[in-house]
Amino acid sequence: MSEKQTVLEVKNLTVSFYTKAGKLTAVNGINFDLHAGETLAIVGESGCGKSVTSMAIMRLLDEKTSEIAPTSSVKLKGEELTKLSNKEMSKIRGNAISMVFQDSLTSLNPTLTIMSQMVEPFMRHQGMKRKEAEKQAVEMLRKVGIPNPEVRAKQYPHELSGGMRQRVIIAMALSCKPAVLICDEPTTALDVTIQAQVLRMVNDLKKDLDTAVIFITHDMGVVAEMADRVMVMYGGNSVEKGSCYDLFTNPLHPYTKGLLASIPKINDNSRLFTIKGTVPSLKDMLCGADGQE
Amino acid sequence: MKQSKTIVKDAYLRDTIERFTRHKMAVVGLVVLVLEIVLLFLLPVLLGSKPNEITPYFSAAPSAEFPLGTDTTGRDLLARLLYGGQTSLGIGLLAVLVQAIIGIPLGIIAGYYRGTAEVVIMRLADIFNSIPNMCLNLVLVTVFSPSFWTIVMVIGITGWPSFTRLLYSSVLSIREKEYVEAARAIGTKNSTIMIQYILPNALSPALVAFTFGVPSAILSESALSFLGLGIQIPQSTWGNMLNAAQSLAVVATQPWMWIPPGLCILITLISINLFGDGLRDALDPKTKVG
Amino acid sequence: MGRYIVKRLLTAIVAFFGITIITYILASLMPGTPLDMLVQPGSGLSAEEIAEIEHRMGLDQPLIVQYFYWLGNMLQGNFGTSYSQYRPVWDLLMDRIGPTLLLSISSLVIALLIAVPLGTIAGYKAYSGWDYGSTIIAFIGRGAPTFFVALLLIYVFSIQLGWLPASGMYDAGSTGSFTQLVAHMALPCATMVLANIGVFTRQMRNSAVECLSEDYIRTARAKGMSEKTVLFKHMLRNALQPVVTSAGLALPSLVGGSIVIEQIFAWPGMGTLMLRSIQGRDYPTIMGITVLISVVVLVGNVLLDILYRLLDPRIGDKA
Repeated sequence: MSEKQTVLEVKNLTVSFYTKAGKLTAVNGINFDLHAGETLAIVGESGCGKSVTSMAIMRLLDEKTSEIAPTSSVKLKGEELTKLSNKEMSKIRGNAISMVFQDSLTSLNPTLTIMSQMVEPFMRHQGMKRKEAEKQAVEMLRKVGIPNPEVRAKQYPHELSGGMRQRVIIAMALSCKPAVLICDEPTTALDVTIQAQVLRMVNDLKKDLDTAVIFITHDMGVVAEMADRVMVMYGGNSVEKGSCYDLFTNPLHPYTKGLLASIPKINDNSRLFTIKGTVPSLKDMLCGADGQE
Repeated sequence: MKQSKTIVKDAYLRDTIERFTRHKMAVVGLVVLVLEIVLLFLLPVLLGSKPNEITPYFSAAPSAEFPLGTDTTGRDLLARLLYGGQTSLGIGLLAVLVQAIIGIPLGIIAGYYRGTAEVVIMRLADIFNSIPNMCLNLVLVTVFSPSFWTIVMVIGITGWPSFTRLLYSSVLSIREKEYVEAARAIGTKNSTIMIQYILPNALSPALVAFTFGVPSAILSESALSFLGLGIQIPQSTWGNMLNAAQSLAVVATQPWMWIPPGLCILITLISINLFGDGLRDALDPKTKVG
Repeated sequence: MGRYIVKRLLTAIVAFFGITIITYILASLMPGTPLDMLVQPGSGLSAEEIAEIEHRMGLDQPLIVQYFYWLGNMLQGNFGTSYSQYRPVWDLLMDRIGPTLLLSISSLVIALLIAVPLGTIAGYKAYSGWDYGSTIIAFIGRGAPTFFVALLLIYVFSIQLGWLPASGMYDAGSTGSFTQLVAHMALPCATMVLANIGVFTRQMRNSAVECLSEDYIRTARAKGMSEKTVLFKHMLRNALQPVVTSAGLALPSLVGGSIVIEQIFAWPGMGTLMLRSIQGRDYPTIMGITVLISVVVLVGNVLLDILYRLLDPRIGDKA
């Protein structure tokens, strides 16, 4: 594993939000490394801080309402991202590190054609002229398996199906062959069959481009299919880390056990396991309960 | 049963008031408005103002005797300002009441029955909306010679479509609610459904429309009166007091004749609008109307 | 799109007939008949001669026949003859419509040109000084009566400072140059801009705030787009849609408000003609102006609706 280059190093990542109830910590000292060509799955329930983690790495959180603690460090190929200015960071986003979001309909601009959204990364990050960028965009659309890419590119997002839109978004994110791709529940809104296609496609492209992938999900089935390593988050903390195999065969943390037990099994008629209690509110976590009592 | 209903009502009222008071500017608007109304009705009594009495002082500048000066015929401008305010506010409120009386039933009928009623009423509202209100007001005051009540009716008749549109769109969603369907299922008469089930639930938007209607009615009245086609002298309104300023000489040399009524209109309209914004957010924190 | 335009034009035509009917009903309610205007008392005409004139003018026909008579004439550009100026109403209207449109359209455009950037900044920097500043401007704009604003502007800029003329379109007795026109337009235009800018700015601000929280803005940022691109390419077009709608809603009050403003600034447009006609009980002119102003509003609304469709490809499809 160590022969592969480390592309992303996250150390002590802590993110807080300013709210009326005071300053609340949503992500509390997360650490992980990511190697080229590797997939790390971050799992946990909604509200556990997995999306905030990815948004913080991308520096997409609203700076007026949130804060990445000064002790945090996010290094992309050795370059510290948390200290960059917004302008410098914007040159890295979509270029060396990109992100795919959950809802494909709202994630594309409804008033712009697919083409005019597809050419943007090429023109911004690779200094291409419009003509050249258009050629590349069509190529990219073909690569993610969109039939008739020349025709589709001229259409608006609402004229495409959900699966196709998600392919467009993935194509856009991969345009500049990023070192790291963050997928935030990219398939949750899709049908199961489409979901499988999209996942397979992400896997193929990843191998192709040797991209490291952070895969955020709450679906343990997806984890088993996609991930090399897994990090389990609960209440803003990372409660367990390990290889995918270890985690499924020998979960250590009680929350992870609960998470695995809640996967429905085909040959099992027993009742569905539920994790007791609700996700702790940030307000209740000011003094670090982490589900271990 | 009855008791629990009142408790729910009280809680709703309390929440509404709480949401309203959180809007600091809305509270300011309300306070200014209340203060203004008290002054408009109390001061004339205390001062023994005589708005129509002609004194020998023509176009006099403000003095101890006449704090706001006198007009070109020698009438006390403070007295005229106070009585004029009563008239302007009165016309504003009554005209919107007329708009509501015409507009609310039409909106409910159009939204509840749909079909032909909807097409006819909403088309009519569209047509009325494409003739500028000012234009229609002017034509109407030519037809009916201007007086307090004709002005109220004229502004009432030209302004109803805003109520109709608002009520129509909220009734469209209310009529799909389960309690309305349930009432229909047990064979309740349409008129009963409209009055007992739909109207009470459409009251919030109606109240908001009412609040925002008042400033625009006051504006219409003062514009007409300013042009000399509204309330006629000797009765005063803020608008016809500004009529004096149609002469450039008055604008240039006798600012006391036109600045106070203008400021009064400005302050009144701003405070009603502020109040309306607060009311809208307090009554229905989700929707943004107007 | 083509089908939509046809459909929209058809509804506009229905509205046009509605407007003519309302105008005609109102005119028929007006005191005095056209006959009284033409045949002064003591003109020495016999009852038969009066009946003859009445017949020739179609005044002995039922109201509905008279309406179609009037409508038919009007559609051919014959709006009748002005009672007070003894000229065809059509000619009067054509003299006056230019200045009115010039004033209204330039005010609308200027108001939007100021409100759109101002509202965008206010929305982008929500809850900042910019935002509060624009809120205050919006509130004053919403509450200020145009005639009072006009008087204040005249007081300050014409009388106290002497910078700008307070009336007319050109200096009296001159042939009129472009610079004169601009100087004369400045104050009436500023009044109309101030009256409308508040609502537009507020609308733009709110829709900018809403748009900026959309997922596609986040996508654009995640792609590394510069803030300039995010704002002008991704946000603006979406955020403009409600502003176009509110510009359409403001159109009648804009044109209606120009009547008062024209009167104050002695602007030789349809507003001043309207007031003069009302004072002179010149019914054919009043009716002509009402119909023409409403047609202007109708056409404006059709154009704005089409613009709205152009801004949003999603609706364009369904029409």
